[in-house]
Amino acid sequence: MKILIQQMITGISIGSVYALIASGYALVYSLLDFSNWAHGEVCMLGAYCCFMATLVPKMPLSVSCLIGIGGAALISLFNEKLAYRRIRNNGSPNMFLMIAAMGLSTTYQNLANVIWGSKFKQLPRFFKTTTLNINGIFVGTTDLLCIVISLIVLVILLLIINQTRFGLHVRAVACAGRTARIMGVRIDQVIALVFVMAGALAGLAGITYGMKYNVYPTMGNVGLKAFIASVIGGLGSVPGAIVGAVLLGLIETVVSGYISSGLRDLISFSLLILILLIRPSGLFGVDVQEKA
Amino acid sequence: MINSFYEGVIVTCCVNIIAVLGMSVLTGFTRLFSFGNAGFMAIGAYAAAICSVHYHLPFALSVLIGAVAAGIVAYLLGSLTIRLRGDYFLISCLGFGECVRVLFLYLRNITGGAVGYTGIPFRTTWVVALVCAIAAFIIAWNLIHSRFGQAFSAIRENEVAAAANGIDVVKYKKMSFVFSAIFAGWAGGLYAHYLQHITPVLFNLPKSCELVITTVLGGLGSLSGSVLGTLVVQLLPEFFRKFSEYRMLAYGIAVVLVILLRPSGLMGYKEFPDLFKKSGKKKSTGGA
Amino acid sequence: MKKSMLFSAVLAILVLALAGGVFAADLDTANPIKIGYVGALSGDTALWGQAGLNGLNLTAEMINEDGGILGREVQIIGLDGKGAADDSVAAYKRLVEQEGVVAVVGTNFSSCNIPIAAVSDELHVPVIATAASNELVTVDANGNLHPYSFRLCFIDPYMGYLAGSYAYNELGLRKAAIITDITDPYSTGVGGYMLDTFTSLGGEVVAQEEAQNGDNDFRAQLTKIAMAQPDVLFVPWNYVNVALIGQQARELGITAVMVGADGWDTNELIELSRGALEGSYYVSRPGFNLPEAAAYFEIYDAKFHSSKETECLYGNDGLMWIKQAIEAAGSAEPDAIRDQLEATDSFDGLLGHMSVDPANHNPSRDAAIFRVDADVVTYVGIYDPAK
Repeated sequence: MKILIQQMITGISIGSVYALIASGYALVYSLLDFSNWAHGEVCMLGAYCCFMATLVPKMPLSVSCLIGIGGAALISLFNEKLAYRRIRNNGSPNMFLMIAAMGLSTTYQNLANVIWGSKFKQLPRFFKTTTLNINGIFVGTTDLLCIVISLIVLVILLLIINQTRFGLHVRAVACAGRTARIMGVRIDQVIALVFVMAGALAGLAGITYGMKYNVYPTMGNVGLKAFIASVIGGLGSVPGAIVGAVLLGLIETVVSGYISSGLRDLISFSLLILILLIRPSGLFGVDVQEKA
Repeated sequence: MINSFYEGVIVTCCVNIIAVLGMSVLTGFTRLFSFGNAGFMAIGAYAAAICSVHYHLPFALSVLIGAVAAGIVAYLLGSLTIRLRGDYFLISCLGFGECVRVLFLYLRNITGGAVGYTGIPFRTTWVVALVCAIAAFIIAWNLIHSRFGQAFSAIRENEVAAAANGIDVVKYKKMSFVFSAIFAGWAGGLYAHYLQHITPVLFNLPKSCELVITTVLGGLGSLSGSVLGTLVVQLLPEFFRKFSEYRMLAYGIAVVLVILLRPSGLMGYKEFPDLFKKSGKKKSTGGA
Repeated sequence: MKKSMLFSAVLAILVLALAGGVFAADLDTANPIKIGYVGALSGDTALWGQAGLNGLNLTAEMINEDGGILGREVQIIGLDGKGAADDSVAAYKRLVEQEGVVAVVGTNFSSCNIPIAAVSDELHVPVIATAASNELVTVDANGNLHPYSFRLCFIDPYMGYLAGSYAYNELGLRKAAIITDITDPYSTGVGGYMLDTFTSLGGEVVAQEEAQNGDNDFRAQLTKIAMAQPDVLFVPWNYVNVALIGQQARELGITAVMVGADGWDTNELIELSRGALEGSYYVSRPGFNLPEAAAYFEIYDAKFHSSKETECLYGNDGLMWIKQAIEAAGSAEPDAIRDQLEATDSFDGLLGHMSVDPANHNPSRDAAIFRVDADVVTYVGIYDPAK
């Protein structure tokens, strides 16, 4: 039983990072119907921004974190302004957005390699004690902090989407872009703001990832896991993405803990395909005919 | 005289042309995205290698078995997943590709695991590769210009309208998927007999992504575009090999620029002959 | 203090020489000896590939200051192999066919060097693998020698044998657990031999787990290992993952002694692991501990501002070994170099002294044990179980 609880804690802690990234995927997907594959790299750049800030003498860690989050938000906005908006205005099919995102992802990965080198960096942590021992169950302090922060941030995100006027606009654009425009919603502004929010979430994810593990140019690969999580949850659904992320974290740990660690990815991917066969639009997705 | 370096470049280009042509039929003509075709390449490569090393079968037969094996797996997978839409289909293929890689890493006794499968005879000379690439082009060309090809394009343009006109959408989609897998398997089998040593890492997700990017860069709905795209994607990084990380940076930027500036790819919906016809018959201009 | 002044002096001379090119007067620059390097210069293993190339370039500069090899300038051509088999083979071919190199250093991956070895049989230009430790790099699956393929590192079985017997015999540990990287032949290879040795001596294996490079989180596996209560945990990984595994293992209350191999070699181990590896041991070459290596790194650091990787020393040793072979042969022809490499009975590099077994091209060199303490890695001594 202790073991199971221990594994669940690990699963949730992994899943909470996935959730921050996956909700960004879902936000962008809900508006633009495309998978923003450069999102993982936004995470990575956020972590590097935070790392650079920590190098400044006497900079408090919390300020560095804010700089990292802000940096990621700006980069996300930059992607939208530089590339995605133009492609949308070109009248190109949606999949071009995805390919452009893949190009951006390669660009950023190698740019980081050129700027910072491929050396592995570390972010400082908030606490000196690394673990709490609760009746033989070990909980990392950094993990605990990350889970709590993720939880707060995600709740705020859901509140913004469901309770505010801006959230209403987001949902309106997601539901029927053209109609929303006619009704006076400034679509480009809404989209830009959503990219900022997604970027900030990714930056936060990158920083937590960097505190728990390392910061390096290819760390954005974790975005793939988050993408899978958002697919499990149902593309374009933020609550779905969060549930999918935690579920994926749990599946991964339980599979490595109880079945086979070597076959972990094989089993989690097979489960993913199975989920899609049973629910072809993910757990929370709405089955809509793709817009032709 | 062609030295081994040029031979390597030619073989690599030809092998990738075959895989990309398969992708082109799937993505460019039927509008299905697969990020798992490197997985089919892996199946073709390992199956062909095992046939040739373990069972001492002739080269052509081994490659054929590899391609057929990839096709059969694609048929089975397609039967399950072809009804999934858009990104859901994409991710199921992606998951499949990763599964194949992990499985080949795990089955150490059969595949050699991470060390790789070694001792494959060298059979894919540049002549063999070139002949195969030309054959692949002719096969794909004929397929596209047959009744099947028209069904594929109809599905791309409007799935509902195609279905309304009596096209069995699921059947044709699956066919196109199996076709792309057979080409990928064929490419994999040839590649194994060129490299003489294969590892699962060769067929990872970035390889699948590269195939998709190449297809889009070359231009959707154009087989000659796919060939051109492959040449660009394979030759430019080779040319700039000395510039290490800068070349991959340039590659990323180039992908973004092409999408921004030439949204229909290098040869979108056009074939080579079209370039010489000023007022040739209008091709489909593709849809949003 | 004295030492560091000496090094600054060396450095100053180096800079002066570079600026003025004064010593280069009698160097034959029109007819350089070209040496190739293949490594991952991009991608997720670029750290090591770039370090190797930096090492090679620095050493080449030093050699040229000293009048080159046989009076000829040494020129390094580094090509990106991305750590992938196909790219590395293409890079090797290009070096030989297009650039006209007489010898190649690299790569650090067995999965790249095994196919390169097969190609080198045809192209007849010697290749010296740096950290590619699989047996198949120099000898094919049928036991035939690849005549043009060499290496600088230990082979997997020897590394595993040393670590296994040190844990059992010297540390007196009896219950082993292991975690290996299934994507990395080095990890599965060395790990397998660690366990083989450990069990053949009478030890017991209580947990065997696998993970993949890039996972970053190993706690699911480590929780299982913690359950089995081993007294030794073998961690045959590269140091980045070692640091993560170490921290996460301690977080989960694993107190077992961690034992590793040469993948642990770095001066950043303490910092990256945030001190979690205290009390661990690893087997490697004397390498980092030699004063010559420290001196080299001081110059290296000033020039590249990059982390000090074993791969730099491998780069240096590869080039110096080729230099020794060319000077012994009195010729820079690939075949003459090959013959001299094979006949090497003594080569002193920054990684220590070595000789080559002509039957399988594996170097035989001293192995050393290192202990990781709270804030420093301590050199324990040369270790040879046979003695």
